[in-house]
Amino acid sequence: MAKELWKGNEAMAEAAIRAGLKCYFGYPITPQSEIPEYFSLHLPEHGGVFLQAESEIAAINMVYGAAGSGVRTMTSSSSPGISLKQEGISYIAGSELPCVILNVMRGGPGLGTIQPAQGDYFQATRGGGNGDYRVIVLAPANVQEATDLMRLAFDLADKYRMPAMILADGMIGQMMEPVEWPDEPTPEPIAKPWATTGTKGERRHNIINSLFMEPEACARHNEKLDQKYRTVAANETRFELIGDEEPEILFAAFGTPSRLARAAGKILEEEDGIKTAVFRPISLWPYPYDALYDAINQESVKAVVTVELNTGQMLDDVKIANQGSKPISFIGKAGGMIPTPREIAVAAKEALGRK
Amino acid sequence: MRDKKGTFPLNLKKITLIAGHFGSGKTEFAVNLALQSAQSGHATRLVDLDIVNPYFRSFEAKNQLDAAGVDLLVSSMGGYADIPAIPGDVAGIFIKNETREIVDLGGDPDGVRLLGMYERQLNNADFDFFFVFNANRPETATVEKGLRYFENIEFSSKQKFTALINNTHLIHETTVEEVLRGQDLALEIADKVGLPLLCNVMTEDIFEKIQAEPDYLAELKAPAFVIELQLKKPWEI
Repeated sequence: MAKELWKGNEAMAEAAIRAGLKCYFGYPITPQSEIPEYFSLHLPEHGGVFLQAESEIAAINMVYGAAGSGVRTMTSSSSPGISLKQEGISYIAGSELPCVILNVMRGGPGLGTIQPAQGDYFQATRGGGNGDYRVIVLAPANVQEATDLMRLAFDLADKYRMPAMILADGMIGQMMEPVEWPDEPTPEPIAKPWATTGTKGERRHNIINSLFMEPEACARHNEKLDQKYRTVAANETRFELIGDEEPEILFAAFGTPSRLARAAGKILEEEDGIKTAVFRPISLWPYPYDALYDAINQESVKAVVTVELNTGQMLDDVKIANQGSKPISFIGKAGGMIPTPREIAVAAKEALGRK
Repeated sequence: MRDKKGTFPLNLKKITLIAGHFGSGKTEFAVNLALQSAQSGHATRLVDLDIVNPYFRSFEAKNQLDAAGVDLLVSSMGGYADIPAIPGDVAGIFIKNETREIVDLGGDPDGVRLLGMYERQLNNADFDFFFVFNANRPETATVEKGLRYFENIEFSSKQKFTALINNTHLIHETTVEEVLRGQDLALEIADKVGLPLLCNVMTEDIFEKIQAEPDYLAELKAPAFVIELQLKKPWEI
């Protein structure tokens, strides 16, 4: 199929429709309002339901209900709106329901700014809601990948009966890039025997709930969830390692900052002959710790430089992966500003003790 | 201003209003139009009235515009707020003087609604209203879809377009064939609405390829407006 020019937000919405989305619930907020706008126009054309809820909290709880009925469902928002949804996400995870949550991140904390940021990494990967739960978190670095990951998010959510989140920085949502749609039909819905679709007098009631009256039962539930999360962690890590095969500097970055790091790598190669590579986690939970450890422990790597649009959040996971093996430094900006490739190159040279 | 054979002569009126579907490349066109207008010796002001897009706004080309001597007027609290706040200074574009006003409107019918506010002034003004068209945008990929945007924008703005601009591209993956394919669709729309296709927007490399190939040159049915990409992504150095 020929390439078309898509804005990230529209493309992610279209990808969700192609993945078989049936119910979308949301509330507008910059920089993701093109998503509900696109669904309002196009989701009904595909037999789906678009509903602008009265608030973000209402929207996530509508997702909870729709997920319980077994249909593919999602919500989207930007940072402060995603904060409002955290209670619902915890309930959905506790009730073992599949859904997709799309966060097009802007500057924070609080209302912050409308410019791109990655300040919600902790919230996404550590959980903003209560209890021992996990959410699959996928971070695209370009618009094409954002569309591919949207499909994957729905598939993984269904497979593991848990929420999956697309964590996109504002650039992904707002920029225009060519997109080529894969020649793949919309998947047939998978069997969901647990869904509350009406017993028709033929089976026992399916009950969807996250409340337990007995602590023993809740403990067993937590153990079951924990087992599931271990399975996901063992099978669903995704990453990309690009650049020189024997880098001195290993950049670690997710989302669009990985592209800033690549541009910085070009400056370093051209001006100083410094070889670099970029390790880009695509799944932020589960985090590709082992792959990053291996990348860091290539003999050529002298220093690791983490690049983020925040003040150092994924940095914690880089440190966990590193296990103290190599020096790690950080460069980033928060609140909607973006470090330039030049600034990143300077930080990398400092990490090598060079000027 | 470029004086190469086959390029757009840039005979701009006092006011140039630029609209179209969002993502068509209105802003890149507007910024380049303002730069080339100033470079050709005309006092020029770029009025960024995009109340739809929060990012990739014409005010982000401030450094290049400053260097070329283009004045800048920006909506939405300097462009940093997602509110349709129109500065009072905008009424100044209707003052009869030598300054060319290039107005970059927000995309879609929503983006041009604010023109309704200036309906009375526009009735007495010397202006052009350009419809920017990109056949690679899925929502304007056919003549029918393009026409729908054309008509809806006219309805919302309470104004009639005066010409079409073919801005069909795929950013860095644009080919001559893409530009010419877009031109054919734009010409069909132009024919249906009885307006001229004013120019085909293209980067220098596409322009050179067309100049070097007589077959391409023969297919070019409107002058070329040669642009340099001004709104780069932060990693494009």
